[in-house]
Amino acid sequence: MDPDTRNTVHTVVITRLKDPSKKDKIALSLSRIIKNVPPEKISERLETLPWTLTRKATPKNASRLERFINKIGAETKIDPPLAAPIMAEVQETQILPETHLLSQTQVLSEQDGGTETPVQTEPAPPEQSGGPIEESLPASELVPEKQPVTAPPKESSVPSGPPEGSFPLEPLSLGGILDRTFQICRAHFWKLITVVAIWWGVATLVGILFIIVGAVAGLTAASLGQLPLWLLISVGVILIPVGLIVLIATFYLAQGALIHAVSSIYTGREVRVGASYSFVLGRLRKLALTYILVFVLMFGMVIAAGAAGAAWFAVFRYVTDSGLWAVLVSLPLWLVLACAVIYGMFKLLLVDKVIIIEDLGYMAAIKRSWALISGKAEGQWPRGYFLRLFILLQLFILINIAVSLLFQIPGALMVLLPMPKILAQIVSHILSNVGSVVAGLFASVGMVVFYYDIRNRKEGFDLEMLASIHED
Amino acid sequence: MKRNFQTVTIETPEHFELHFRLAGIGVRFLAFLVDRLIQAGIILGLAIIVTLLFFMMGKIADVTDFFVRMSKFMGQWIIALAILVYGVVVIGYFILFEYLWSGSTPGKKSQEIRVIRKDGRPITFLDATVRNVLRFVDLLADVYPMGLLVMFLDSKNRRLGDMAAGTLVVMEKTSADPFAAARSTGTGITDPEIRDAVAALTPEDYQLISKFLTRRKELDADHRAKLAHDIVHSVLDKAAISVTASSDPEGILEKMEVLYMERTRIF
Repeated sequence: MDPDTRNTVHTVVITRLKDPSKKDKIALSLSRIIKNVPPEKISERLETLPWTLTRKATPKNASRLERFINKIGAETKIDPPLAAPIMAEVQETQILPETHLLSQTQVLSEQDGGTETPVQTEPAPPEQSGGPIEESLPASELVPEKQPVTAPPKESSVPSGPPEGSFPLEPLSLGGILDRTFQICRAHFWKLITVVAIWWGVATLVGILFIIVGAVAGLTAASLGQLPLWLLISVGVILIPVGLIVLIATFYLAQGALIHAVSSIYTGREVRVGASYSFVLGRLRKLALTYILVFVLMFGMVIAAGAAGAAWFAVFRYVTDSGLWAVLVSLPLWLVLACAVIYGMFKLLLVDKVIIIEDLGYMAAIKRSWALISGKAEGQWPRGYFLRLFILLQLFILINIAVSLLFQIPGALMVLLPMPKILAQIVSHILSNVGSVVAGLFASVGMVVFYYDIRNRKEGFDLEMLASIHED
Repeated sequence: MKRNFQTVTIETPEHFELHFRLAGIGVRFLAFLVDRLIQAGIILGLAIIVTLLFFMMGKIADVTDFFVRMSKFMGQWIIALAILVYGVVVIGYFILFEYLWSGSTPGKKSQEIRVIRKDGRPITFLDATVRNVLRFVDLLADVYPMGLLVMFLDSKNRRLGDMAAGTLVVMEKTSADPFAAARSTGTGITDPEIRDAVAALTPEDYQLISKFLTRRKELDADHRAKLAHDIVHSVLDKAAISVTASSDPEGILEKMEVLYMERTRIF
């Protein structure tokens, strides 16, 4: 029998704080459901317990209030006592402070015998409860019946656990990571494509513009040398670098937004394209500067390796006086140096995920990425995180080739169709770009899944999420 | 909690329901790559063995002359013949293994997946032949583009060969976790507080504790200690039991797990 159909109303009283030293924290938590009362006043009120919160709570809401208040660190008394433990479904026990289990309460009163001080509670934010409470609802109802009381939070800076129907969080094998990548891409394909479409749109438009300008001006490789010098300088020194910077900036913005979107999907939150871009714009400076730092580091690694290899070769050339022997002796070192550079580059591949998801930046993000891709996992081969990443990237390359072929072959066949050459070039260019975007999407999503898999294995991220669901 | 695996339920003629978890696209792709590596290894190995044999017999020059004469005589037909032999070997590998191993190949075994008919029965030779002959359509440059596209668009992750043959690729039932830590099976737990806490445990709490104890060796030290502490506090708080500072959270969780298993044991 649904408890809310009964006519009984309950009085909920806060009787004691479990830990008086945490009074301010408890007051802050209570301020989320008590409207127009600052936490300081609530904190003062908590010094003179017991405090009657409401005299007109339905059994369901009384039970939720009791659980919430117990969770934040206080003890309650329900009068009359709740008849039997409400055997709520799993969904109904997912009560977290952020979800505003109460959309609106009636006036909360002071302690027994004290002055009645009406306290209005705050209606739940519209994005979480589905809308403001209508005036026609009876005051005895804490939550309007028509509102989904178990609605998961729509937007939260802290993931509160995967809701029903989301992907289960657990450590995955390599095949599992690929499976999860395809599942995410299939379930949210158009949203994810929309996220990256902005960059794709800019790149495609620039490409089409070049094609049209070239065709209209009759530009060929030979005719380029006959153009005026000022035009060549303008294009070479100004337009092309500016164009490149814009393209690179929009690319990394789109990548960051994609990471945020995939992270939202993985942790069970709603995906919104605008929200993802807004989120990344807030971290754009950190993202851009860290990327520059990573580029400088990678460039430095390449230069250092090249210098070491060249020095080694020069020494042996001087010692043996034979170029061939110097090459033969230097070859193993060059291979080792090349592997070291590739190793270093791979270890930095999670920097952007760390920046977007964990809000670390600069050297902290680089160190974190390095630390994450270190060590060994339990279970089947491959166990080393670096080896898993290496194999995963090879698999993504193969998938990339497969997906790109699907678009490039029709694009290449365009020339056989009876259409103007410029149109065939434009269509071919569009198809090729679409293929690159779709192919790149899988790799980008897969890297986020890999990042979370490492966190699940090393830090028990999935266990933390599971624990946060079952805290009630 | 509703899970997002793809499962398929097959009702047998005896009205018995069989539940299978569909193999994902990634796992199938990986199994295919493993099989291709094995095939490439076999072909390369055979080529090396045959070459070595002819070399040891001193017949390498004769064999080379033979092939040169054949290529002049047959021209492009020899290329066509080579492609045909290659195709027969590659496709024959899948047909043979899937028929003899009841829907499994070495690559599929490595990923713990298997081909079954859509009524749940093992595949026949005809099913294996039909689903693998259509591999020619899926394969292009050996990277499976059509196969990936069709599997991506199909809700049951089937490629053209599966649709034609009426087969599905499913996950095999996983065996017990080999890394499950050996836990104490002693029944001498007399701590009444822990018994009270176990009485208040829900199945979800037990799942959390069990998962933590199974995977704790993989966690780094700081997170392991923090998680153990948080889980113990979260579980004991429900039973209004306080944890002393000197108590060992992991030891408490181990005891709770053993006790819970004893309480829920089905006789």
